Amino acid sequence: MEALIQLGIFTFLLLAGFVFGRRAEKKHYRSIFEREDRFRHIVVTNEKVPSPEFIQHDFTMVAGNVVISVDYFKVVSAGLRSLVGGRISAYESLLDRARREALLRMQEQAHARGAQTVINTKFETSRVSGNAGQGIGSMEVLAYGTALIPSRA
Amino acid sequence: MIRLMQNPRIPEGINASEEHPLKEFALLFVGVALSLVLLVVMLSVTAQQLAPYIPFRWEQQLTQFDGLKDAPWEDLSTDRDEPIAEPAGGVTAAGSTAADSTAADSTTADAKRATQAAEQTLKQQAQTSLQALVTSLAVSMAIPSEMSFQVHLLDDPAPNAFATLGGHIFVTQGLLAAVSSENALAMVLAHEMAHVKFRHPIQAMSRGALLQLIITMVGGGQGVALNGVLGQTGLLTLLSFNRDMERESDAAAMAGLTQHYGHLVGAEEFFSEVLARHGDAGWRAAFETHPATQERVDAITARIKLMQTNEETSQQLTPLDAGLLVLKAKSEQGISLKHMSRNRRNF
Amino acid sequence: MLVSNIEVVPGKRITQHLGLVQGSTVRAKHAGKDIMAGFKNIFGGELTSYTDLLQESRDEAVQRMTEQAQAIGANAVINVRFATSAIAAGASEILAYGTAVLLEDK
Repeated sequence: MEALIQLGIFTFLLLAGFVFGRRAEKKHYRSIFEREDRFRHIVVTNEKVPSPEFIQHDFTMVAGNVVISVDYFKVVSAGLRSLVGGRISAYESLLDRARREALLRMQEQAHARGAQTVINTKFETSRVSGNAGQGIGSMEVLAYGTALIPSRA
Repeated sequence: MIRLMQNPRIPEGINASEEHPLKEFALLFVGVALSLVLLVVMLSVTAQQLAPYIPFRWEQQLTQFDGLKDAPWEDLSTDRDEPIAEPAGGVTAAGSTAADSTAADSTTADAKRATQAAEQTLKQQAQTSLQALVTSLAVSMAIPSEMSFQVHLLDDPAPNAFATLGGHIFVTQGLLAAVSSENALAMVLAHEMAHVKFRHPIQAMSRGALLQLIITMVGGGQGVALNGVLGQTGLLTLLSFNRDMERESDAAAMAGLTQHYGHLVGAEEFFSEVLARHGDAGWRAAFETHPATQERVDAITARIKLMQTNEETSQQLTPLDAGLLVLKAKSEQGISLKHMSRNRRNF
Repeated sequence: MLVSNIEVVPGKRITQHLGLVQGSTVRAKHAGKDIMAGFKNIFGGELTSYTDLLQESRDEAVQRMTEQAQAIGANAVINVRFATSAIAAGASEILAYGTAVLLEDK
């Protein structure tokens, strides 16, 4: 009987993780698409030396970071995949979302300061562990760069 | 004029796959589950083949105890019983003197000890009767000579019986209360003895340990969720092997009883009572360690019918031994039947 | 498609910047290799299975980055950087990112 209960709980958690996780992911992606179009005028590059047209600009460091959590379905899916080997697509979409969100937040900050472009962009990714140190709990992505603001003069 | 710096939209699907996650999950799950089932089947068959090679002597040495006080289980030497008479020393009238109450206390303490001693003797007698029954059944069941059994009576109102390593068989007082003839009791005892004869305890233990080891080695780093998946699948396969073991023991017990009493009448009493009380497991049978109770009752009654067409030997029920009857009466006083647990049925 | 981690490509000039492109991949090695690696942790030596894993991941990440660059019409990716992070035991993420540009001979 306990076997049935255990199996039932496991299936319930899996289903809940899948339904709610997928919904959250879809919603997030829609928001990302919309904001990427809105901030398309702020070009982000990772060059160290700015183009000549930006020589007279003011500069300031801007950053954006986000922490996105996994759901139970992703964890089990990734666990199964790591038994067999290969690409873990569950985590790939998670990290893609996190990176784009971090970039967007950096662009938002640059926009708030009136910048035209962000150069020397770098990424930092780290994981926050869940499950008592084993396995993944959530991923944090930080994107930072130098924003170039046209000076008033 | 083209702007020097642009930010064109990058198409989706490069860094994140657009494939539906359920499809990939289903594929992986089925693949892993199938290979795990295969592994468990191989493991169980190997355990079955290797078990006879582990000498029974080793099991006995592992579980040997010098006298019952070293035993890790509560047995006859337990002092947990409540005395039948309540000590009257608690409530004293306003005018009693201290001397009076001390005298009253010592008498009730004596009475308490005497009652406990009497109960101990009863249990000793019951245990001796059980041991004698087991020994005579062993002859009828053709148990190999190097195997010996030790019967222990447990102070539990729930009807239960199980066998462990080394030929130790445990029977609860609740079980004694639930049977009305020696035939029914013998069926349960013979079933447990058959488990020992077929070396099921050591098989189950080694299978379980090996499987746990493999699951930890393979899935250990990935966290609790994966262990859960592997554990569930492994468990379900193990349970089906368990049910086969139980059926095998039932068959051997029926053969032993037929040899001993000449008939099987009364053997299904216990199972029928459980069925009447708890109903049939139905589809949930796949998740239980034992076959469905209805199946077991049917097997016994079918055997009885088969035998009735062949012989006309006397089909009298053998009554319980005297030592057991006294204990049974005593425990029926104290135990109300609604205390019988409905979950753990290990017989 | 030119992929390099230098900023100024000698002999060429940048006619357009097309923004940041990224390629990332998360990979795991299968359980058998994990167990072997576990044993290697006791005896020491190079973990060739993990070296292979990370090499494959890096190649794939760079390939995805160039795919993005091609999709937006660039012909070179400059200033390429790598970032590696461990996701879980036995699985790691490799990110390759750079600036997509249009190069022309000087």
